[in-house]
Amino acid sequence: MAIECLVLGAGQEVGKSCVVVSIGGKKIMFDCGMHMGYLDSRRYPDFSLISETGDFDSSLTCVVITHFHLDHVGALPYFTEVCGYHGPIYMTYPTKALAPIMLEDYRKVMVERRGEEEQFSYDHIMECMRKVIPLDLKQTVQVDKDLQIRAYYAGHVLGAAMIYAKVGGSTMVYTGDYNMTPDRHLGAAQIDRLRLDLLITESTYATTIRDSKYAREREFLKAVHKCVAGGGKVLIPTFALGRAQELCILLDDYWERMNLNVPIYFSAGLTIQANMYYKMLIGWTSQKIKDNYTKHNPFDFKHVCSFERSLINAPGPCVLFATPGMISGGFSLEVFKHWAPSEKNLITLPGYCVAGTIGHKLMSGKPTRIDLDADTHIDVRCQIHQLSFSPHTDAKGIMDLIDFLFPQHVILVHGEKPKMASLTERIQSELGIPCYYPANNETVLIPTSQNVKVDATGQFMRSCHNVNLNSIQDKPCISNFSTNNCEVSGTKIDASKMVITSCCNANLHSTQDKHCISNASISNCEVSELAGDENLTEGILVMEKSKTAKVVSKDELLQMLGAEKHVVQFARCFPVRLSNREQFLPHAANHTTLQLLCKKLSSHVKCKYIESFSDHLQLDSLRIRICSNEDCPFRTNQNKYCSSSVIYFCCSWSMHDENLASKCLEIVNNLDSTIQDSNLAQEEAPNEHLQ
Amino acid sequence: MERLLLERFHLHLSPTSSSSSSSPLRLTRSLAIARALMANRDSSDTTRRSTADALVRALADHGSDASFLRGALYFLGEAAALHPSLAPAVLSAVRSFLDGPDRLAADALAALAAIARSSSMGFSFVASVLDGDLVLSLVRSSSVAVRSRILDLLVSSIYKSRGSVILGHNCLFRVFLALTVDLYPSLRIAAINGLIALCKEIGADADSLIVRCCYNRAVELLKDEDELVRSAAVRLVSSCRELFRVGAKGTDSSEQTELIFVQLCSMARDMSKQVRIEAFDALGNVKEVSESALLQSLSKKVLGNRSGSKIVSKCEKETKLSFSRAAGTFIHGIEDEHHEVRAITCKSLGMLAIFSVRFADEALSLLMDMLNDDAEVVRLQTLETIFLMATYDHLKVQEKHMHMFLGLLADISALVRTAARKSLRLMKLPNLEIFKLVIDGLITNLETNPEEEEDIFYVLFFVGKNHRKFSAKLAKDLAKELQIKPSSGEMTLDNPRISAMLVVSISSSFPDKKYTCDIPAVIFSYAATLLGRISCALQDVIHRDALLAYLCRYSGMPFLDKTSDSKEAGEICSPPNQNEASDCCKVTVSDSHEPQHSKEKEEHLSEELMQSVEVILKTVGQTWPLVKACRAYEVQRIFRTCKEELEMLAQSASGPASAFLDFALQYVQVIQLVAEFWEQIQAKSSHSFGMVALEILVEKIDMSLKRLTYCFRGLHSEIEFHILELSLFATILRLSKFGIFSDSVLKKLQKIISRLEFLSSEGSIMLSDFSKEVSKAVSERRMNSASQQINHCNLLDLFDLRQITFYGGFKSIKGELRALDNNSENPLLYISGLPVGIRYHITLCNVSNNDRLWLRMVVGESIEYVFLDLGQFGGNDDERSCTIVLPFYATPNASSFVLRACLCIECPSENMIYWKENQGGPKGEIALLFEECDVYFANIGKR
Repeated sequence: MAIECLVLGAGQEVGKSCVVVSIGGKKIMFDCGMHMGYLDSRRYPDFSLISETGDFDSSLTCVVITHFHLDHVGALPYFTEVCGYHGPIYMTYPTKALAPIMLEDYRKVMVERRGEEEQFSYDHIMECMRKVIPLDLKQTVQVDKDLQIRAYYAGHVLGAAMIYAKVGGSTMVYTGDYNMTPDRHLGAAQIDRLRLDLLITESTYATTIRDSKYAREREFLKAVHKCVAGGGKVLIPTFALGRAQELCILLDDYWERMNLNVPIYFSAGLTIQANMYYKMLIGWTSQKIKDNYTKHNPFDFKHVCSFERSLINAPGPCVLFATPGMISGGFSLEVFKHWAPSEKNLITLPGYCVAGTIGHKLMSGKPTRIDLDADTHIDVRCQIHQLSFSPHTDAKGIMDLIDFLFPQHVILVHGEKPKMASLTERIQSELGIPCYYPANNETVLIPTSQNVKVDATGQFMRSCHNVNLNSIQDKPCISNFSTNNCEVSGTKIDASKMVITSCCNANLHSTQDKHCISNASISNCEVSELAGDENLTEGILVMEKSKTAKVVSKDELLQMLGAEKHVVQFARCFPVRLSNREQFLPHAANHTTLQLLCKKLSSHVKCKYIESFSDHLQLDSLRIRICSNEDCPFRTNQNKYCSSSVIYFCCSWSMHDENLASKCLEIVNNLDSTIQDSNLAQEEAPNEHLQ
Repeated sequence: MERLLLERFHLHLSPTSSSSSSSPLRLTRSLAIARALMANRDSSDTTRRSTADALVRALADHGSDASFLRGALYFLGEAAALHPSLAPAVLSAVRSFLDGPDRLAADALAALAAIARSSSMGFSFVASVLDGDLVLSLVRSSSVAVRSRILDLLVSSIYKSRGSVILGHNCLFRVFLALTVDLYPSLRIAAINGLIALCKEIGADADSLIVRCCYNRAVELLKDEDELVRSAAVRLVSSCRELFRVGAKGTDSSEQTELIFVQLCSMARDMSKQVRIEAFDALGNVKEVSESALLQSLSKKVLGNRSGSKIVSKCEKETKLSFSRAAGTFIHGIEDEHHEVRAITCKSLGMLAIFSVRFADEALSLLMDMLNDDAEVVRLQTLETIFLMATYDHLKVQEKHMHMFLGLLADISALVRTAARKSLRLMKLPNLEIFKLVIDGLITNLETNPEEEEDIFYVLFFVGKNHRKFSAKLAKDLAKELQIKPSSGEMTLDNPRISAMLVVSISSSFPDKKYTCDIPAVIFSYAATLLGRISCALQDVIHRDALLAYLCRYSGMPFLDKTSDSKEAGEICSPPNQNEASDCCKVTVSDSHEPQHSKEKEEHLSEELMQSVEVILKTVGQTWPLVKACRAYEVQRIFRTCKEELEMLAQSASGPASAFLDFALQYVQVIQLVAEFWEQIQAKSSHSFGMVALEILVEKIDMSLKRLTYCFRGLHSEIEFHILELSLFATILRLSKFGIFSDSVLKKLQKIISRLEFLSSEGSIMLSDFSKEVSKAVSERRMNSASQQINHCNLLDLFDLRQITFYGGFKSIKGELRALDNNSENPLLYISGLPVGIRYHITLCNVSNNDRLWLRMVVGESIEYVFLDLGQFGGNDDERSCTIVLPFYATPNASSFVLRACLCIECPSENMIYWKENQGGPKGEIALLFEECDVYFANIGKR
């Protein structure tokens, strides 16, 4: 079995994240984003690669959205409403709440401001959202019989999730965007240690290593403080959701601490609305906010008020949050036009700007003049501060996550090609994990180890738990690895005996004695044995037609097959002549003989337990009794002796005690002489006494 | 009773008793009886023994009944734990089950564990029945319960029995090692803990191979799927490291240490908070790790020269670890989301900073960010770390740090401020600017928190003393300032700034004569006026008189010999350098300057108080003849003055004294009420008082008595006796007036009498004639059960008020109830018919967890009880408080109403079902803890 990974977007680029993964016959689409840098067909992933006929419902099992950023969810209404996908869509609760706001805002900007052709309508968004099935963190969702998905906390933005998917034995995680260091309002990504075949991770900062966040915060605050202290205006273009709240918490705290009363503005109602969601979705925020929100909800900003257009040219310092983040248009561009020409003002830029936006131009060197179009140009004299706050993890974080999960394969998406190449190199050399970074519309095939799922009975499972005290316990020696077909009551069953090992180097020290516990110091070889983790369990794999294979323990097999247990037993009934048998009383004779025999055996045979019963003796499986049945089927040497002095011993034993048996039989055969000896001794004793 | 139970027990157990002998119910019942017999403190030893023996026998008889066996095994274990003398018999009985079926073996092990835990001898008992084979077969058991229990037993055996009786160390190692790969995480954790304990136990004697084994296993387990296993594995790695270090004995173990350091570093990036905490804790304990490794852990960027190098461990498995794995560990630590992790990171940073100056330097800039942390724990820990660095002289502060640091002097938390000052005391300040900054910071601190003056002066003094040059400079500036100011008449020594500067100034020349000449004498003479405050702050450093002598000498004032004897003066006049130096040393050792005399004072006070209370009570006692003589006016006057006096005393009392006075007051109140009642029923013109008024009086007496009985804890039996007699008297009084002799009254009387008899049998208190008579009358009445009336008058005449002596030392259960944000002007709004939430602030004193407290809310006829869960309260038993919102459901249809709320305590022993069942209130009677408080409501619609 293999995992097939088709990258429809965000392959060797940032934007329109969309990866379609086929595992075990299930096809999952992770994210369905749009590219903000393009306005043509490159804006959306090429869905035709999934299905040429456009029958997405039958080719896709489900769509999973990791978070509400447009480059992860932007194409979703288009895909469902225009392309006609009707299958299940999964996203977390906050994503479900916030995604429509983002989409609608984007649609408005595109259609109403720029007058572009509408790709999808408001109704489309709402219709699309209606199909969404919300997910909660760490909740395992059974999409269908075979496919399980589970969401883990990813940091990044409110409601961002990493998605774990499992089909049969194949497992994978798609991270979406994530952050490994907590910030003020969101926690760090959090995932269990899973056994993975594939990890698809973002790699926005594939080569950057960031220093402490405290230093970054200090720098930002210093720049802002300096600017407002000098009477300047600060423009902070951000996305409405996420960074805006983060920076706002930071500034609000700082304002409080420094006792500043310069106004902080939010440009649009969108952010106010978003804040409301943040206030409600406390469960998805950082530990600190969760701890404190009962006292003070940090999204209740004290110093923040909403902005009016007339305030753009109002005198005096202020701080303004405006959308969109990369000054690609909208309100932030409008304010930028007004404020850029003054040296007193400050523009902070987000950590990452898509090529083609003004933000990107400002970032790459300090331009003095920016051409908006053929007729308009802006003189840029203001200061520019580049924020290094980013909700994306840095290279170290990516490495840490890969190291923690230690998957079989890694695929990088959502990054720039050269950086991805260098990170791939690092992953392969440092961690030894094969790593790929396919371009858009490329497919990567990941081989996975084939696991056959078998049932196991409870008894077998319990036997697995048997503690392995290597040298203390002797191991069952498993050498006969045979396959035999047996016909039982009309059903043909393949009963193949096999050994299930968790480790190949089975150590078979069957020679050591039972119950030999030495507390002497451990020799070197024993120590290495101790350190090894051989864990051996014996079971029998039963495969029946049209049923799942099942592992049973040894004892259960017969019962399962409905067969009886056949044991090979040897038996022999042979006469022993006892010369002075007449001495004993008839009813006690047999018993006394056995007693004598028992004494004799225990002195000659090295066997721990001889059990003596009224009519027989038992040594392991060997059973000796005195036989009075004339027609005993095992009887040999009939009529050879006269009955009075002859006693018949009927012995039976199983195969594995063959040696013991032959030794004992010999002793039994020679019993007569012994008895005589002992009788003599008994007779002599009173004599001595008399003398 | 005991014998009866025992007989019944045997009957239940014996298989021949009846045909349906071994019915499960009977067996279960027999276990219950056995439990009762065993738990009762008064059971005799023979009873216990025979119970245990019978059960042991029953184990064999009823071998087929698994549920009984399990119960019996468990019970025997507990019994043997409670009474060690039973242990041998129980052990031998339990032993045979260890070979048996899994479930029984698990229970048998539980019994063993109970015995082993019980006493110091317990373990050797248990060890005597367990042999190696048995233990190993149990460890190999397929039942989880058995494995986990034997594992627990083995682990605790390491702690308990020195010299490990059950298994040898090597064997234990094998068992634990084998179990560390168990399928069940809990077992893996237990096995790891066992290994850790074993490592600790063996210490330096450990076989290096075994340690290596443990270490390898631990490293494997660092990758475990279960977070708790991982965190346990981190601990194991840490303890293995310790053993490696000890085992190395001088040989170079640096590579090993470094490997472990890097391993721990990579664990510090685990997703689980618990693992991270353990990892940072372990990192802090790593010693002798190279500086380059340390520095790498502070930088996220991989440091140049070591970037490619890998550490290859010596073990067979060839663990390769890149050095870069350690990169930025501590940065991640202080950026962590959980304050617990941040705090422990700071702590580890401090512990590692001891080893390297460069590390300390770089760590400091990280720590400075932590000074801004919003968790107080983290700030405190950071300051502690800085203090530690300062003590090891690894603290180099820079100006950019100082702002952060001094910001803490304005922290909200007093603890943080104190800790900040503590670190300042030891800090070395590089230049005058920073020095001035520090002094200014401290002065601001003094201005905002004048209550901390003592400590601030103390710190100022040390800062000045440690930087003589700077403080001498400051002193000169101050002198100039002082010389200008007097003329303008603005100078006040009260000014915190001036006083603080004075302290700094005088410190510069303190033990040393060298700088004296630089400092203007005027400073010292001004400082002398602040002698009281300064000497108070410096009482650890210098004696008041010595300080005065010092100040006088330098200010040029003639030293006043008269104030102290000449010998002392002589000592001071020539300041003995060594002496003072040693004083200074002492400072660093002891930081507390608690006034010691305050406690003595308190005790003295209470003795005085006892005496006056005794006098008052005596007066009260003496009034009884007057009461009997019906001299109402006089009696009431006496009582009134007594109460007034007590109230006056109570105003100034606190703690145990106030509880004492509270009790006395309550007591006088009861006597007064009784006296009033007595007077009214004796008076000829009894008709002038209505029945209702009397009933109210009776209720009042009842309430007060209940308060006396239930709201004071730790009453002496004599006092209890007295109160009981009073209750008896009150009951009889009530009977005599109302004459209703119902069963409940009879029961109450009986109860009081039996309690009285019990107390008198225990102690030396004699039953009074009155009590005896009442007892007689009651028993007669019970025998005849006829309507024979008790002759009240005779009985009442018999009563005499005893003189009681009060023994202090009891606590009074008190409560305080306040409705927040509510008064008659500012009522709560409600909609009639809908519940309304009321915010209460409740403070409870000396309430134990066993008490059942209720909040009663009364509006007109409707009464609502709300049970108060003590779990919601913060604080300790002495005082707990909380603010809760409680609903009131039955809001009436009115435009406004007043709700009366009060705190009640359920009286534990008054079992009578008093309230209707459906009401849902307390089961027994209640006593009020605090006067009722009114809550005002206004209807939202009708406003």
